[in-house]
Formats: sequence, C-alpha cells, structure tokens
Amino acid sequence: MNKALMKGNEALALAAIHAGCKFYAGYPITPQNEIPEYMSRTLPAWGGAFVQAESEIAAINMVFGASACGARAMTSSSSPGISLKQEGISFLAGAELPAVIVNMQRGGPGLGNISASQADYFQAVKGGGHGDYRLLVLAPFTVQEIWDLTMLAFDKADEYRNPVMILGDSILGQMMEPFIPTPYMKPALPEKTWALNGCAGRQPNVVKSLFVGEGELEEKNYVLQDKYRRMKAKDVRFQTQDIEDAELIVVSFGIAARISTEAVSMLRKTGKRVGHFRPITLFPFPEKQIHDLARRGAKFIAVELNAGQMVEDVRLAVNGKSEVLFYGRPGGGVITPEELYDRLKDEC
Amino acid sequence: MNAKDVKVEKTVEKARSLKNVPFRYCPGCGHTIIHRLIAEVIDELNIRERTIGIAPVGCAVFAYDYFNFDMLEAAHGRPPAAATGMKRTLPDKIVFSYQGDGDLAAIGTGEIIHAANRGENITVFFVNNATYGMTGGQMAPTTLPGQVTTTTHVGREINTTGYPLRMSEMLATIEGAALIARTAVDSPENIRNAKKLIEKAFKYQIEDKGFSMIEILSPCPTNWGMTPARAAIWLREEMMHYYKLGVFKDNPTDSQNQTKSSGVSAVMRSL
Amino acid sequence: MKKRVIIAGSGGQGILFFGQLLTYAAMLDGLEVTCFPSYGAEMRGGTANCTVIISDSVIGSPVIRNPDILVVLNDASYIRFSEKLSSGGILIYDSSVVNSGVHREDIKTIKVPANDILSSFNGARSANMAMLGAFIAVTEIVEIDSVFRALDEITPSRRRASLDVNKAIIMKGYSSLYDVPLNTLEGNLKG
Repeated sequence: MNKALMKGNEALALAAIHAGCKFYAGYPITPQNEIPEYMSRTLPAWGGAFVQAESEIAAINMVFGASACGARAMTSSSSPGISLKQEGISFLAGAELPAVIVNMQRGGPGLGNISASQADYFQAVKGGGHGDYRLLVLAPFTVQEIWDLTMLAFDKADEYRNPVMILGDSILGQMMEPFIPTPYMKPALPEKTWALNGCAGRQPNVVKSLFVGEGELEEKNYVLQDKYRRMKAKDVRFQTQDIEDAELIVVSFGIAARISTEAVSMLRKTGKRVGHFRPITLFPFPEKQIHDLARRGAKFIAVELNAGQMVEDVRLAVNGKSEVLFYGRPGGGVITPEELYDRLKDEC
Repeated sequence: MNAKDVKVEKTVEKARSLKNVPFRYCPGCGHTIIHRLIAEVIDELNIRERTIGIAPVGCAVFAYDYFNFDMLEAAHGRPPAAATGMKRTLPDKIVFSYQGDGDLAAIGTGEIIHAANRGENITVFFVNNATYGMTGGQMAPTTLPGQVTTTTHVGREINTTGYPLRMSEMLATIEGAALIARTAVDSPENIRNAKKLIEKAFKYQIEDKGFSMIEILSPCPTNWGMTPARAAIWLREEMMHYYKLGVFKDNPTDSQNQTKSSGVSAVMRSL
Repeated sequence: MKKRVIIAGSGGQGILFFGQLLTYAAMLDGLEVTCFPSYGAEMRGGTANCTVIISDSVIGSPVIRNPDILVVLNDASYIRFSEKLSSGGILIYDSSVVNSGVHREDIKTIKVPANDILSSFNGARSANMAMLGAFIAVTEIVEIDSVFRALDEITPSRRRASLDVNKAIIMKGYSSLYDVPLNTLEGNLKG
C-alpha cells in the first residue's frame, strides 16, 4: 500500500471520517486548526455534518446531542479549550455516551503558549470534570499511530459507551510524516438500542445523567466503575524497547517517547543497559507491567513535557519496589535527545 | 349559545405524548399546562414517533418523566447546542428544547443566540417565570425590577443587577430566526393562543422553515409567594407590562431557499 | 545517514512548500522523513521555517536545535539560524537578498543567486524552487526525479499551470550548482 504524507492533524481528521464519524463540532484554537478545517472541507462529502460552534462548550454539547442520536461524533481542541469542554465530557460519561475528544496539547496554565506540552495528563486520565469517571485515553506518538488510534478510539467509545480522548500535542498535530493509510475494519459492536431516533415501534428512550432516586446514582456509579475495570483488564496498551536486561527504564508517552527512544538508542550504543517503556493507553495505565518490571529490580525515570504528572502513576505502579526518578520540562519547553542523553548517562 | 347546542364529541383524554403518570409540579405551576399543550400538538400533528425533546436544568429537568417520546436531558443552558447536534445528525426528526429563563437567558445565552443565528431547524420553548424555581427562588435574568427573590431581598435593584432581558425582542433581530413569539398561560384565552403558536412552531420545523422560539410567561406561585389565582393576576399586571405578548418575527419563507442560500446571494447582490 | 535540515525565510516565500516537496521526495526515495513547520502566532510575525529530518532509520524527535543543513531565504532568518548550524554543516542562502555577514570558518557556505536563476523566467518569483534545485545538487539527499514526482503529486489542481515553470526553475537551480566541485563537501555529506 502506498504511503500518504499528511500533517498529524489532517491524518486524524481523515481517519475519523474513514472510521464513520458523522458529526464534528469544534472551535478554532492553535495548534489543532487543521482538524476543523479538514472536517469542514471533507466531512459533508462523506455524508456527515460539520458545525463551527460558538464556543468549546457548545461544541461538546453538540457532540453530546449527535452521540445521543447514535452517530459517531468527535470534537477537537487544545488545552484551554479542553478545559471548557469538561462540563460536557462529564455529562457524556454520566449519560454513558460514546464520543471522541481530541486534545492537541499546548503549554499552560492559562493561555500559556502554543508550544508542545504534556501538561494536561492529570486532566485527561484522572477524570477532568466533576464526578467519579474516567476516559479511555490514547497517546499516539507517530502520524501512523494517530491514524490507527483514531479509528480505534471510535470503536472503543462505542464498545464501552464512554468518551475516549486522543491526547496529542502541537508537534504531533503539526508535523508531517509518511504513514500507511490502512483501511478501517469495523469490529462487531452492539446495536445502539439506547439511541434517540424516534420511538416508532418501541418504548421511548431517555438519555440522561441525572439519577436522583434513592441509591440510583450509587448504582450507576458501580456500573461505571465496572466498565473502567473491564478497560483495565482488556485494553491496556504499551510498547517496549530494550527492556529485557535494562537496569534503567525510561517511561514516556507521545512526543516525549520519540525523544526518549532516540536518547535510549544513543545510550545503548555506549553499552548502557537502558530501556524504554511507552504507555499507549494512559488510562487504563499499564500499572501491572510496570510493577512486574519494578519487582525485577529495574529503576525508572519518567520523562515528560511537564513538571511531573505521569510520574505519579509510575510511582503508584512501582509501589515502592524500586526507585522512580523524573525528568521533564514544563511550559512548552521541548527536551532534546542530547539533553536527555546527558541526564540519563550517569543513572545507569 | 345555549348549553343544549354544545355537542360533546369526545371526552377529555390524556395526550398520547404524555406518560400516564401524575405531574409533580407545584399547584398552579405553568409547566403542567405547557407540557400538556406541547403533548397535544405533537399528538395532533402525528409526530410523536419522530420527536426528540430536550429537557433543561431547572424545574422542568424531569420533563423526560412526563413526555412519552425520546428525551435527552442536557447540561444547563446547552439544549440549543445539543439540539443542533441532533437535528444535523437526524434531519428528519422533530427536535425541540424546553428551557427556563436561567437556562436560556443566563447560562445558555451564547447557545440560544447562535442556534437562532445559524437558523437551526429546531423549535425552542422558553418558559419565563421570572425566577429560579428549582433552586429555590433566586433572581433570574428575567426577574422584574423591584421583584423580591432570595438573592434580591429588597427587590431587584437595576443599578447593580441590570434590567430584565427581553429574549424574544433580542432574538427577533437575528436574521436566521423564522418565528419568535411571546405568549402566556395565565388565562384560557392565552392558553389557546399558546397552543396555536406551539403548533405553528412545530409546523415551521416540519416545513423546514428554520429556527423558532415561543416564549411562554408562566406563573410560579411557590417562589412568588402567592396563591395560584393571585399569581395569574401578578403575571398579567406586572410581567405582561414589561414583557409584551405578540409575534416579534414571522418569516414564513422556506429557510433552505430563503435564509440559507438566496439570503447570502441577496446580500452579495446588494454589495 | 541522517540529515537535519532547516529551511527558513519569510511568509509567502514558499518555505513550507519547499519543506513539503523535500519530505515527499524523501518518502518516494524510501527514506524515513519528518517535517515540522512553524505554525500559529510564530507565522503572524511574517517568518516561516520548516524542519525536515531525513534518515535511513527510524526518526525520533522531529524537532531539533542544530541543523546539519540550513537553507536561508531572507536576512532575518540568516541572523536567527546561522549561529545554530552544526559545526561542519552546510549553509545555503539566497545571495540576491541576504546581505548579512555572519561568517563562520567551520561551515561550508553556498551562495545561490536566485534572482539570476529566475531572470530568464518571465516574471517568475519562485526563489524557493531555485533554492530547492540548488539544495538537491549540493546535498544529493534526494533524487531530482523524486522531487519532480512529488511536485506532480502535490501541486494543487488550480496551480497546475505553474508546474512546468517550477520544474524548469528547479532544474536551473540544480545545474547552476552541479558544476561546482563538490569534493570539498563530501566529508559533510556522507553520514
């Protein structure tokens, strides 16, 4: 199959369309503007609807409405805009509606800057909005993986009836890289019998996140928690490099993982026993796999484009079995492979 | 007309579009009347099986317990956005939102203005009772000057809280809106008028004429601290003085032909 | 082999198109390649730059600080980037417009008089294409045929008319440098 060359943002939009996305709403914000632009040009020709919303809040609620009708629906934004969407994301989780939400992260807090950042890790994996809920969070690190994981995101959202977040950053969104546009193969998924599409021939459906009867909301929460447990049991994804004999294991995701693999390769060439562990799902986090490596005695260093967020999940997974270090740069500072090499070379 | 001239053709029956459950709204509350009117019109237009309603946050949040068709419960103020996502996804369905004054005129001001401006082919029922009912009677954006609420203890002071918003008059200035009207449910005459407007709004959607909003002045005896009878008088004497009933915009042309496409080219031609 | 290239100039000079063509050509040559353009507020200031990394093995970070090859199309970019060029790197600049005089002894400098190259093309302003031709001749990272194929494939249909002119300009830029004895550069080019 011939390779295609596209920006990460454009590849994401096209993958969504191939995966059957029929509704997109968004609001412009750098560095993800290519997604709404591409959607506006292409989605209508594929029988879908594009709306440039008046706000991030409106956009996520449009997705809420489209998803309630049974359509595959997506919105995208970057950090400040994702903060605005949190209300709607909590409602999606509470109403058990599938949706794909893309965050091409930029530097924060506040208006921050438009450089690459991973400072929205906590917001993505710990819930983000109000209430006890989780998103399934996918962290691609190449344009190829943006293509593949976007398609997977729609399937997982439908499978679990839960919003799925694709957590990228401005470099992944803006960079161009060849990739193989593998065709979308839809897996067997349950019928959306809950969808609001007119009650002809059936009892009316209600989609809601309000449960005020005695014990009703508690029950609902157990249903949600059970769903998150199923995600942990069957949807943990990760990739490793040179970990078999590694004394030091670098843990990083997304763009930081690209930087890390290069630094790890440089160190391997000098004979250092260093490896790399890349979580692809940030929730569910590969805690068991990291715990097992810790029991073997490996030391860890989390490398992130933030002030230290995923490192907390690495520490929880390691649970005191070995040492966990951190190296990162906040505020849109991008680590270079050489810089990381220097930081790592004396640790192993 | 003599009593013997009245021919009883059928006894009163509950609308098929209402579930067979009693309303739990307060005595004298306008929501029960408005729910019933909407349900009757949906029955009469025979659109129950293709209607999707959206409940707001506020007293009518439980509208999904009463309406007997597909219902969504949306976030506070966001029904016009959710309705946009629904109608764009399923253009053949009849989509309406049911919103209170806090929902539509405060937290959801952005959503209602832009849904109207896009000329979304949806129907909005805006229930204005000049107070926040569900949360216990705080000031609404439509609370009248001098009106006592739990957050305006000495009456709404316009120098610090501004004037009540006239949403119908505002939305009537928007090009994309097809039908904007204000009515009330304080008297049999106005209730009949409200039903006519509700029917007209649904028909506009069926005929793809674009956005319509029917504002309905509705009594809240509980939070106004009045008997239902006194509340109806207050609504007529105080609310209607500030919020005039009437049709503020009625553009019965086909939205697809007029507002959306030739509307643009007409502007281009005039340049 | 791994070559880290930065192309820099001002908005409207076709900097990103240069980067895109180079990236596409590298892909057609079966190489690994990444292209990271400037975007957003950075471009509002009127500058444009693009980082292209071409390698025969998997590329890690698509962002770099110190390029091996720097292509410069205006003064501001010359000032901003020339100090960042790796020692032993190649600086290719448009000598028709760049007047700045940052001189380094540890790099190879290639002057390309883009205006002279363009003079025989009636009114053509595609200095970027002239620079691309020169770049291919000097660096030999990608095949010129691949660049032409890339041009065929990514030129938007509304700009088809410019296709042949662009190819001719690339060819002239290429041949203007092809006669230059390159043996002095070989040490830098074999990675």
